Amino acid sequence: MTDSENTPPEQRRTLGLTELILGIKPDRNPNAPAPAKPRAKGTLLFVLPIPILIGALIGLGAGRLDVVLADGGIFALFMAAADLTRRGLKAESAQQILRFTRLQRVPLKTIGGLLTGLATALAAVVSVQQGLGLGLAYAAVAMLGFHLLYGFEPLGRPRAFATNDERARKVAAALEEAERKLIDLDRAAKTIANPELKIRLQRIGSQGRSILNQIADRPTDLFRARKFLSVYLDGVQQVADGYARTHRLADSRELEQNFRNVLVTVEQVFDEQHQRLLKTDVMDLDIQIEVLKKQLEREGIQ
Amino acid sequence: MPEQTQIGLKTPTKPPFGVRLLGGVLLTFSVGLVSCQAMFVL
Repeated sequence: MTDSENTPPEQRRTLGLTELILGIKPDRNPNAPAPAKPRAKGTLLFVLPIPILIGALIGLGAGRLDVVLADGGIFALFMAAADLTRRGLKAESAQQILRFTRLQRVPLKTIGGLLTGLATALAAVVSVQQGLGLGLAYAAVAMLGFHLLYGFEPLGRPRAFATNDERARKVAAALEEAERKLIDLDRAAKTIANPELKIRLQRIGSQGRSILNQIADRPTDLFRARKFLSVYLDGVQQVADGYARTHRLADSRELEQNFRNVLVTVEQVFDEQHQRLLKTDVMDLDIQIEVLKKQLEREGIQ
Repeated sequence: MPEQTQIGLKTPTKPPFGVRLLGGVLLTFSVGLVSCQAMFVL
């Protein structure tokens, strides 16, 4: 049996709407397997400078300390650039998982690209003893290649939404704030050692994301889900933060049981909230069909 | 009919394969060439 056959009919319809408006298939199934780990990127930057390391070793064999220091330093600079670029690429793919938030991050890729250019220029001028002009030319080609292959980060804070009016901006801001709370919730879940509680928190995060998808799908739902956004999401985030902070200091069974009870209640509330939004969606469609039917009857088409 | 507000998500764009290939060639040419020259300088 396929996934779509397992999905309740009302959920299947909303899923289609989400795809239509957002152009992205939402992750509504909390039991779905985690997405595959992104493969390592930026390997080229680790591989290309290896001859410089060999050069440093040859210098060591020849008893040339100046060559060892120069080549060793430049190789270390290349490795730092490659590491920063890899971290930047990882952060970028993690960013793409977020739907409504664009976090301000240190432009790691850009710093990696600039360091690659600097290391290339130093290698050309210091190690190979070419002129400054040629060194700068090599650096420019390296940075152009870096930009085309990996890209520099855009300046400023990119916006997740193309909002076209005041109302849409309000909805976008509410979704962004709610997603930030879910990010904090995920962060708190990572620090909790108890696997059951961790899974429960992650499930709540997944349910929360489903509700946010639903709101993005039909922004009018924001007003119905206001209580969820302002009371429950805030509450669970604060409780999870508090538990994550205190459970390491005081390992109390009672505290754990209380936290479990809260999570079970929140799971139920989130599920009810999601079902309520889906039901409203179906009711709205029924009303629309009824209105259309009456209109067709009035005009004598049926 | 309920009022709908359009929210368009900006999806990140990846440069085309040809552009990335050119980038890889340029990076290999500059960094790789300078590195090999540095290896044979002694």
